[in-house]
Amino acid sequence: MKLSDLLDDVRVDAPPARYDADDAVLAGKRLRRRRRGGMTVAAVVAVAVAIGVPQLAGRAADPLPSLPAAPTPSITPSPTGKAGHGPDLTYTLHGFTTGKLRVDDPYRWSLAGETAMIEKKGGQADAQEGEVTLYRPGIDPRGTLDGAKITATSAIHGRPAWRVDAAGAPLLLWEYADDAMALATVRADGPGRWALTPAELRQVAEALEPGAPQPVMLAFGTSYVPPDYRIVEVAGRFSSGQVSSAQLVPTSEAVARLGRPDPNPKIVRDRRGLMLWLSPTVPSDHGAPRAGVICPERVALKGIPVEKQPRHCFVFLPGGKNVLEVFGPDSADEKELRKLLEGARFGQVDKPATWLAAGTGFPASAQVGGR
Amino acid sequence: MEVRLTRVSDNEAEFREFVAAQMDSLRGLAYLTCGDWQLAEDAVLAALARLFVKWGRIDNHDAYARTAVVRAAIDETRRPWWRREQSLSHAMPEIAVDDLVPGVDERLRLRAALLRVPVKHRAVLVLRFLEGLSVPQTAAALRCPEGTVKAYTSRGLDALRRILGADPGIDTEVRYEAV
Repeated sequence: MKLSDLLDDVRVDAPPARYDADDAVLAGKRLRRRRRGGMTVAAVVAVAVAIGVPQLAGRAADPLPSLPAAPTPSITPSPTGKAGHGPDLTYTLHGFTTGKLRVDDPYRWSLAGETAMIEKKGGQADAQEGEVTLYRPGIDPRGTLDGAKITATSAIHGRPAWRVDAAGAPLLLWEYADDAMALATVRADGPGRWALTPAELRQVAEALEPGAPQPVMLAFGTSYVPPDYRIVEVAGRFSSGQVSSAQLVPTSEAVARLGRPDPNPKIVRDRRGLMLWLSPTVPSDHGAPRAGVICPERVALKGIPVEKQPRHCFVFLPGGKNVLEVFGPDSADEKELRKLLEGARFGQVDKPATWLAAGTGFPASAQVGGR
Repeated sequence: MEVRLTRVSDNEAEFREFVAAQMDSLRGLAYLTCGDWQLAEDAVLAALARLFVKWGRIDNHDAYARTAVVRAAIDETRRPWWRREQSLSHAMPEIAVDDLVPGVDERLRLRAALLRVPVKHRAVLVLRFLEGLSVPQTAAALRCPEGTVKAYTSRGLDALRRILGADPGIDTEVRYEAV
């Protein structure tokens, strides 16, 4: 068996192609136009739409609000968790080691809970083997596990626990505090998948103890977000590919998410609101570093007319090695996205100690329950 | 002006012909590099866009496309949404586990093993053994020193051996030729 045989083999199993020669020619012409014009459409939009993460084109079941004129920017401390407010932008899970397993500090905060990666000593070098999510009190994730077989298993610290079998993956669900559940999962795809056993998931559960709240830190903040948008998720993890991100959705949608598990991202792709991403610059997408906010011209793509293409603006961080991008729905006002980026502040990307607390790095109005 | 238009049109026609003939192969190459069909296709599209722009200035379109695809596939795995999309799929796995249990087809085993090798090492293995590039050519394609290529080749093959067990069942002759 030769490695080179794999290429023939994998072609047999390939799914139908999403792109053809027409798409390649269009992409090439766009790239040429951008290089000649300096600032037309960025390939990142094409890629983003294709991948679907920031796909905010206007096919949403619930139309997103258009962005009104900007109010006076303000930075005030984040509200505390009063009735009617969303959770504070803090983490209660702190990294720990148990045997060969390492649970990192959380990398993702959402209205529903906080998530940390599980890594196994001697495992895959560039991918985690699993994750653990602590849900906020009152949120039951079982509703998201359609089709999974859920059976009671031995208690953990005297509290109920369940084994979840989902398409062959053994997951562990347990109550880690009064009326509060946690879910430990094993990676299901890509490098490192299926590398954790049920016993190892239990080992994580037994060693996990929430601690004092610590602020969620991000490499960026901004003094302005469009009115009626609220933060529903932030993620920050220093690695070669991901630095920090934040997602804001209309207030009505954010409030509707309170007390529920996060919606399946594959289902709500069209209702993702504003996505902010801080990541390393990709020269072919962003061009040469330059000052100011850049909003590439939109073009029709994959049968979606230009007016339904998502909005996209970005700004280079000092030094030009990283870029902060915002993706918005087609209905978004470009002036609002510009204003959001013009109000951006940054820590030093390679020095997490300089990052900003998400709770104070955004206006108080951007938090659920904020005004 | 007429001549120029004709040339552009010819170039585009050649490019289209090239894409139609090579698309499947390039997709497979990208998939083996990044381990995700969606990312692979985005990588291929990005690489083809670059090729389109340089079409008239490149002699070996095939070689350019293949190295560009591998490089683009590595870039795709660095995008911030990749890790998140990967991790969000944990709760409800969509892939059956059958192909990883003992006794499955050797090629599936090798493919699964290759996808567990760190991405940079994997890229070197793909270029060296799937594309047949030399160490200097691989170094140029990945814009890294030749010493790095040699080290990654060695480590990548070692990783494959570890993952596959004592007898990986692959053509190990190439290892010594490679380093």
